[in-house]
Amino acid sequence: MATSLITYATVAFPLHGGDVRAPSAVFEQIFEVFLLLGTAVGVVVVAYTMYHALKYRDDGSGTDPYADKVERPEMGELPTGGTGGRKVFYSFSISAIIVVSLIAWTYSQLLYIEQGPDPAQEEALEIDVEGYRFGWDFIYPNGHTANTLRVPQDRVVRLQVTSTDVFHNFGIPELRVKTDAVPGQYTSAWFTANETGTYAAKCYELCGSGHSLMTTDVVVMPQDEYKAWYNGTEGSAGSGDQPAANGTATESASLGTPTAGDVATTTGGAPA
Amino acid sequence: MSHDHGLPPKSSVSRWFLTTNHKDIGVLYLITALFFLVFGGVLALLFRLELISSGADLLGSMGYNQAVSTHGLLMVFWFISPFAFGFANYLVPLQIGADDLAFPRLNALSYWLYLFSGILMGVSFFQGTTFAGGWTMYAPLNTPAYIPGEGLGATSVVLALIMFTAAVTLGSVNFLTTMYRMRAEGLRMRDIPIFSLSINLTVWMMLFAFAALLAALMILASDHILGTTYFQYSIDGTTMATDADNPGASLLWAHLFWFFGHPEVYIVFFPALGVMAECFQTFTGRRLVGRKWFIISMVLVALQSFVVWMHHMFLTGINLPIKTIFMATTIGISLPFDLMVFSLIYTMAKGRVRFTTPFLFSLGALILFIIGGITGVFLGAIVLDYQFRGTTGSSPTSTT
Repeated sequence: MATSLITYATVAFPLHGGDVRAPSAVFEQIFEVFLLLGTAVGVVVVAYTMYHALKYRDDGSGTDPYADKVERPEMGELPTGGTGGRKVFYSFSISAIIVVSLIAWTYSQLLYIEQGPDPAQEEALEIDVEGYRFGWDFIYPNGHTANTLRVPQDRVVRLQVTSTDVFHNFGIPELRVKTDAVPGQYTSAWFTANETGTYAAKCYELCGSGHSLMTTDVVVMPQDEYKAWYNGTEGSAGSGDQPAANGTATESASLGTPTAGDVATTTGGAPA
Repeated sequence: MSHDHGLPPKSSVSRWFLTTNHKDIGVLYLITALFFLVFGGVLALLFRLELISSGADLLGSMGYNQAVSTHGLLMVFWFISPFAFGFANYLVPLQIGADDLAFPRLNALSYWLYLFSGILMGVSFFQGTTFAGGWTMYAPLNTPAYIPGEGLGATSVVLALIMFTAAVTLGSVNFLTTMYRMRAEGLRMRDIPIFSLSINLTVWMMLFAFAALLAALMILASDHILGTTYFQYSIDGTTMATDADNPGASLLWAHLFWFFGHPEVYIVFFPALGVMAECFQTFTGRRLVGRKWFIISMVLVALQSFVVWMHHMFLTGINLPIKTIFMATTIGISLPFDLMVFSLIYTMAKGRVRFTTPFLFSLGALILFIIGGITGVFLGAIVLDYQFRGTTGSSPTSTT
């Protein structure tokens, strides 16, 4: 199964993101395997534990059925180990093999998530995300800034996430996207959405009194609709589309120019 | 002959203020820790009550954050470890054949600093608002710029934590001196009972982990009291300027906190593990199977606990090689625990297991630990960890 996945990730891609293996698919697969194996291991080990506890329970008869086989510890003796250490090592080895091989298997998936789908990267839509107390700004390549994230269906979206005040965490649970929004630096995340619809983005790091209200909509649109919408935003670079009530308008404008230490994308302002 | 310290009898109130006896102080720790359990527990009840309806109508949004944050701090600092150290004070000198701890007055000082630091936590509730930035106290939300009002209550919490850290450090030195210098003649370190061994490793971890926390807290106190900006960007008029010369401020706190925070997981767990192992031996009528390897496993965990902290920070943009290293250490630290679990299971074999209350608790703890260990390994798979991050309790409570 693992090899088929790797080939899946490395075959030459057509130029749109519909065939890209989405992070949500990677997550679901690993989660299912872990859930099944974890449940199986849990049932076996807990049953094994209970078996020992019940089989060797003191039946209250006053006689010790293992009196001739084992030596009971005496009051006041120096603590020493009991017999049966070999079984401990066998059991330990089996569990270690399961754990290590599971994690090794997920490592190839991690590499995929970390690097993103290479061929599609050329085509990726780059959006800057800025968290502030208590909302999100999404800055498109043409400079358009909005509080709702609109993305086209079946296209790789790369997010560069930062914060303009405290530590936030940007996550879209249904699409399995999550990354910290750390003031002073950028983190990145990517996703593709295969189905149109409205998803929720939330803050996952306690950031103050409005933390639980720091949610926004992620609207996945058909590609042509998205194109029409995006073209309509052309020329509204800067804070033109910014809601007036949003107190961070000036802040966002000043943040449009990345500073030396930042790893911000330099695509801001350039036409897509 | 009983030890006569010239103290008033136990029925006298003044005895409990004057005592330097390890058993008395153990009892004081247990009772005080139980008080903080109730204190933190009531806060938990309050914020669960708030969640009955969706609006912030009982505590208000800041009240809710205060209850959540101080609940976490009280339980982690003022309840769990001090409760364990109540038992440690009482039992360790008895288990190793010492008359008392090496420095009985220092032991009393540890206790009183602990109590007063907890009282200061309580006082902070009456200074406007207490700390509301979560028990992990992430920067820069923990700095005055983001604390409404005067921020006096939050400053008290920082000072209370510093005082608590002082108490812990004095206690660590005291226990280590006692265990290395005051054992009964001929009793080798490896031969002391498993509970005392678990306390030994706990205090070693405390000594180094709390040092990192103390460093973080001292510069945070400086931010609060002297107006420095270790954990925030310089203030440009009224807005926070992101292009100021301190872009690592948030991560500085995260690193220092988790360098303390991960060993802290084992600091709170090890004493309980020691109790479990003792109960298993006692109530199964068997010696601990593979005792030597059980001890080696505990030592490995104590050492490795200092090289796993960045698995709490997988989403902060750290690069792939570092993620890989911390993934490996995280998996690595789960393996000694596997061995300990199997050692406890096989200790029951050919035993005469008595299902007394202590054993039921210990068996229940073992089963919980098995389930917790299996789900903890999920977090070692970084792709899964990404999504579990920030959801209920995943980062602070996983044991691996």
